[in-house]
Amino acid sequence: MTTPASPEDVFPGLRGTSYWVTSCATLRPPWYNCVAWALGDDTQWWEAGRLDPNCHWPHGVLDDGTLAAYLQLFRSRGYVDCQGEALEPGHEKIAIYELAGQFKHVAYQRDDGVWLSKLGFSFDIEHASLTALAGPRYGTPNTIMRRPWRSTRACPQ
Amino acid sequence: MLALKQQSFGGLLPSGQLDQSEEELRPRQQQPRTIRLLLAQHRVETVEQKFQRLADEWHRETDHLSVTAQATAHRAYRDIVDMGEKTVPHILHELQTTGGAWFQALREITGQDAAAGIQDYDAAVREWERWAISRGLIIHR
Repeated sequence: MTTPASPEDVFPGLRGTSYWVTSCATLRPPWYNCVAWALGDDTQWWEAGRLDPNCHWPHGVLDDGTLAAYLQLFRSRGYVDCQGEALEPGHEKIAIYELAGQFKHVAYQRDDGVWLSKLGFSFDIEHASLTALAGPRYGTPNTIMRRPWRSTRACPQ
Repeated sequence: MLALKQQSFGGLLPSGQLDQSEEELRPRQQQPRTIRLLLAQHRVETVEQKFQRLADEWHRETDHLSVTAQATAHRAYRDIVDMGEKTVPHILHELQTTGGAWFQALREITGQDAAAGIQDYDAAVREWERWAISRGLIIHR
């Protein structure tokens, strides 16, 4: 049986930064990925141009697996491009990582400024910095988007 | 080149799959260095060993990915698919124990979808097991 790698093994940029593992790997269902998690869904795996017929992708959104498809998905959910990762009261933000023109990851900013990331099939983590996940695996968070706060996900008190 | 001799190992190895030679079974300190080097170069993996090595590599390299199309394009996953039907029992075991995006490999290897339309994970694994039994790829579970 395979032993999951630690987050720092996969993302060395996490070393020396503030981050917290908030759930275990989900190699068995229920499967959900970073796209689902950013949209507040932990019951489905959202993927454009999916090979697996059980993956979810909404009708009416570009479904060819490109970065453009993921950008269109988030725009269809009310997100618009913005500048800077700083917390803006009244808005929720996402950061989309890309590498070589491919979508790689999306992180979601909670209302205390902390970023939430579901790492593929692997852990859920909370991390203080977007650059902690940047590198050869996820590329860079080139696109920051925001929308007026509508999530039911609130900062734990 | 050394002649490799098949060992039975209590029937654990599938027939025709070499694992160790008589030279290799000798205490290591009794093997001349050249013999050790040749053995290392010509080591033959069982199907199970090769599958597990590739599966471990694949998990290590791709479990963090959020796009299964990228994960299943990884070289280790492609090598497993290229191994063909003999990997089906190992994939089914992996689905039952570790988990992961293995249904795509089953569909590619077999050219079928034994669990078409089934969304429940355990039910899909059971359907693939029934299919594998019907094809004689596994005896029982």
